[in-house]
Amino acid sequence: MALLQLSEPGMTPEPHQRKLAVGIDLGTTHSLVATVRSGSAEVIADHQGRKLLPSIVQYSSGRPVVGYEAREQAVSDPLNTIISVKRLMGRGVEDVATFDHQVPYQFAEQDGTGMPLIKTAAGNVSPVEVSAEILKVLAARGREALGGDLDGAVITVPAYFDEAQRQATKDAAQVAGLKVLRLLNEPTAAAIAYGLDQNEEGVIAVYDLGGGTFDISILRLQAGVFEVLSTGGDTALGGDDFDRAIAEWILEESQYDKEVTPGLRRELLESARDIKERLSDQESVAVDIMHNDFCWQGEVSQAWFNALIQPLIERTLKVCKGALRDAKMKAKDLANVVMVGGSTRVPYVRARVGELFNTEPMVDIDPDLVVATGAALQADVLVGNKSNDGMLLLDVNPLSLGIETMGGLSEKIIPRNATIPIAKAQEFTTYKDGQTAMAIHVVQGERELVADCRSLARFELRGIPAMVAGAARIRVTFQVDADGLLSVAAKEMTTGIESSVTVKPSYGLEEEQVTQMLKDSIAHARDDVAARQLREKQVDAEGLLASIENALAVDGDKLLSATERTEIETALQRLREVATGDDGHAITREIEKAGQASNEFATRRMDASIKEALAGKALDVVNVDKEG
Amino acid sequence: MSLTENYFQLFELPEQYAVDEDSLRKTYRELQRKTHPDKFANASQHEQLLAVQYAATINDAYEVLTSPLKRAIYMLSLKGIELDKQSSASLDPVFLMAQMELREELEQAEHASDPEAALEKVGEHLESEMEALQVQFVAHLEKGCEAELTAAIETVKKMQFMAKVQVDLEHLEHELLVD
Repeated sequence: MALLQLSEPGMTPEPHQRKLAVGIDLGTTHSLVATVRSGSAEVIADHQGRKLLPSIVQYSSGRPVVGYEAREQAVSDPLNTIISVKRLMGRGVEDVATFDHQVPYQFAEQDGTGMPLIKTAAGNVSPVEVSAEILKVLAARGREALGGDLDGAVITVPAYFDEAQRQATKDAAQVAGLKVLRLLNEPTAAAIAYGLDQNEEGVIAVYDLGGGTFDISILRLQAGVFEVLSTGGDTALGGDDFDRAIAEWILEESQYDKEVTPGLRRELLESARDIKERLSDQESVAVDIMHNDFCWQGEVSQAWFNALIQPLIERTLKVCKGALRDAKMKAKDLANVVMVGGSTRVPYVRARVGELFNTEPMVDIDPDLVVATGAALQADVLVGNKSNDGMLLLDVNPLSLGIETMGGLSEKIIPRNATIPIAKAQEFTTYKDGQTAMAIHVVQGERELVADCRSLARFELRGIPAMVAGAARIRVTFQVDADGLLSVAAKEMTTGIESSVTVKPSYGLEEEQVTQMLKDSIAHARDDVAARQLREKQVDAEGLLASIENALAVDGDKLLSATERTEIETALQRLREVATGDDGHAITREIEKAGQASNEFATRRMDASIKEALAGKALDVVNVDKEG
Repeated sequence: MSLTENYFQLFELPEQYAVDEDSLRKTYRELQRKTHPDKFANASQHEQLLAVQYAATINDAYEVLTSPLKRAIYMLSLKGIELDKQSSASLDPVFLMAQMELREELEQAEHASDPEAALEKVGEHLESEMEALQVQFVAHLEKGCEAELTAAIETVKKMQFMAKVQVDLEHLEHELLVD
């Protein structure tokens, strides 16, 4: 059929146009960075050939130390060595209060924000900044391997991460100076790695048990489409909990009656991790722990370990059953179960999951590497290196979103497991005569009482005209984008008064804080902030020019009148004139104008592509008829 | 703009209750392939916002068209009937009896020796009731006169009742898993 080969957006560009993109798995215990080179995805190792980077940051004097070096300090400097920071992401001070017995370091509260800060020798740091340090190291690794500045990154998050946790992750990426192409759910990333690798078809389950989080996703794979049917999980359950169970058992056995110092606690957890790992391929292991005046020796077996972690595994299996039910599937409908996350190395985990789904779990791809691999594949497509006609991800919203109504009840507006992006509107009314303002409290979670849900944001719609109770019609629209992030808009329908917010979690960072952190960190690196920002604007301008020029070449004649086309071209010319100059404000202004001039064109193109999609389908039907 | 078209037109389907799920899914995927924000990761901000809107509308349309209850409510709305604003006339006693029986079955299932199997049976019963209502709805809607439309509205209200039982059933199933 194809008589002409036109270079359209989405086609593979020339080699020299290849953009540099990475996929990053920001894990609780380890983090990784991967990229696609000569068609296949590979994890990028450090100079010593190590692929994993321990997600550990030590703050002493001078620059923060990240990774293996920081891990070595964990026992000697437990208060300044931040481990498993992912568990703190998007959490408030009240939440972390419950972690107090689990982590040695101390918390302070940031003024008025409710955001916890970790006290260190180098000052107070937020979980977002700690994560940003890890991301910076990975980004540098990517830059070095690819030989240039990165055009973008896909960063993975647990599918069950809530709004606040996702936003915190995106903030961390921004602080690290990364352009986030997409926040990708970890199980979905794993499914991409398996699906594209093995041409998998049918319904699969992804069981992802990492260091600190657990996810289960059920997906339908067909002809390059990855459709998430349901997801479930627990963002505070993982291999760390195995370690803690072992450490607590040993502590009890030892009958040690003095205060457990942070150093001893860290030592016990390190030993626990070692025991866990050795028990993955040995029936029983000898243990010998010495730390100052603490001493314990003994022998433990796999059977003992299995019994110890059984309650934790049972919890994950229940979540799996729930996800199956939500997907309206039975275990027998599944083609495969994919194992992801270091904790799935534990033989007992594999056995129990296999038993539940009645199939041998797939472990072909290293469970530590599979998420980063999938993220790299997605990054390669999103950045525009690869024709994206083949792959399509349809992910879901993990937790219901609602607003507080009278009596402290949550009225769900967007249900969990709804395919994103999604927008839903609901009308509310006033309950008092003459009421002119309305507070809107956005919550996330499945429970009926607002008090049992997570509070996301509060905002106020003012200027409602005084009317009798029940006469005002306030339409609240929730929109969740492809990153799983929410924005809310409210409008009084009889007057048209509007109010909208991009939801910033109650104890999240303000935009200016993120910018400030970015500036601070650049200052550290002795980079020139202004130069960097100008360069970013120039790149944006370049991108916009290329994208509209391309659109004009493909669809300009079809969709625009001569006058309309001239208008757009004039705007483009103006942008071109300033695009390479050093007046940042002028670039921003002309980008804005060029965008506006081409808005209607963009809408027409979208409509045309829908018609084309439907026409393409009609053609398929004709072909089928001929064959039949 | 095609987004203002009704959902049947958006999916190029005849405006009728019966839908072919396979072809619906196929069209859905083709439309998402063109509009999903992932296809616009590099485009201008305006195009990205546009993509979110289009993809969200297509997701909503797909959800409405694939759900028997939502599809019925939507078809009524296309005829200018807002279900929420209809006065709730009393439902016929035969239906109320059937409804109560289902509720009782649900309660018994909860305390049965094998609650999981018992709930599944209630689910099957519920499904057959729902299917019968769908057949009735189509019959009323096709005749189209005033009296028949009123009957169609009544039928959809019955479907809503059934959907509530379904929600409670799912809730019980969920609790069984969690315990």
